[in-house]
Amino acid sequence: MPEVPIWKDHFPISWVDDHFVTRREFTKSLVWVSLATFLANVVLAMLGRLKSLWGAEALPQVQIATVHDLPVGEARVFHYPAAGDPCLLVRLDVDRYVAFGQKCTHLGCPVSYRAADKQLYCPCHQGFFDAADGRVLAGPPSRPLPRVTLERRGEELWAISKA
Amino acid sequence: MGHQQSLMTPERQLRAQRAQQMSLIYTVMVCLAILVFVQFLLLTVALEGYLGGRAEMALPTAVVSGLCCAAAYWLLRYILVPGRR
Repeated sequence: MPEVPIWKDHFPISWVDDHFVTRREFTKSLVWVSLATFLANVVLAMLGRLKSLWGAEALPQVQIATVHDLPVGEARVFHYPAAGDPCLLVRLDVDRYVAFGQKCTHLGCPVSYRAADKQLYCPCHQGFFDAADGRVLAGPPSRPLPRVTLERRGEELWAISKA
Repeated sequence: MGHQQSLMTPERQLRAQRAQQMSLIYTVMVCLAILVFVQFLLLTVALEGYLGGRAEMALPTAVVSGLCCAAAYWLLRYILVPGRR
């Protein structure tokens, strides 16, 4: 009977088996990655649920302009709900006002109003939004602009919530 | 046929068995890699929705991701269950 070298006691896995074990371990680790990704997704879903439950609190109501401040076809910037949230108030028609968040939903550049096309335009990457409802018309943005709900109180325009 | 069987020495049999095991592991690895890739895509979509104020998108992506995870575990059993190795 041939004598077994002592190193075989310490390293019993052959070269081929070593590869085999490594691949098996790698496959196991892939399943762990899969589980971690699933858990991350669950956490996001739970955060979203909590956000929708707790985030339903009312935003402040702020007077942003009077009906005489803005000629038809013009736009002006205001901040809502906080000072760091620029929004754009647009007077589309004599009696029609709309307001949207001014940050482009692509990469956050400020959008501006083009009265000729009744569009909101992002100059950074040529994004176009419909000024009537904020939906994307063209360009890289994939989401519509967040809409600010307005309320007219006599001669005053108030922002009362934001999508 | 009998001649072929006589050529199947224990060493060759072991080698063939090893090749079979390697094929199985590679197949499972590729399938798992595809599943994990899909899960990453789903996570990206969920994160995009969450940051964009459409948090309700995270629930269906979590469900599909869970199914992918279950499929990954099911595939792993092909390697880990001793009778199949």
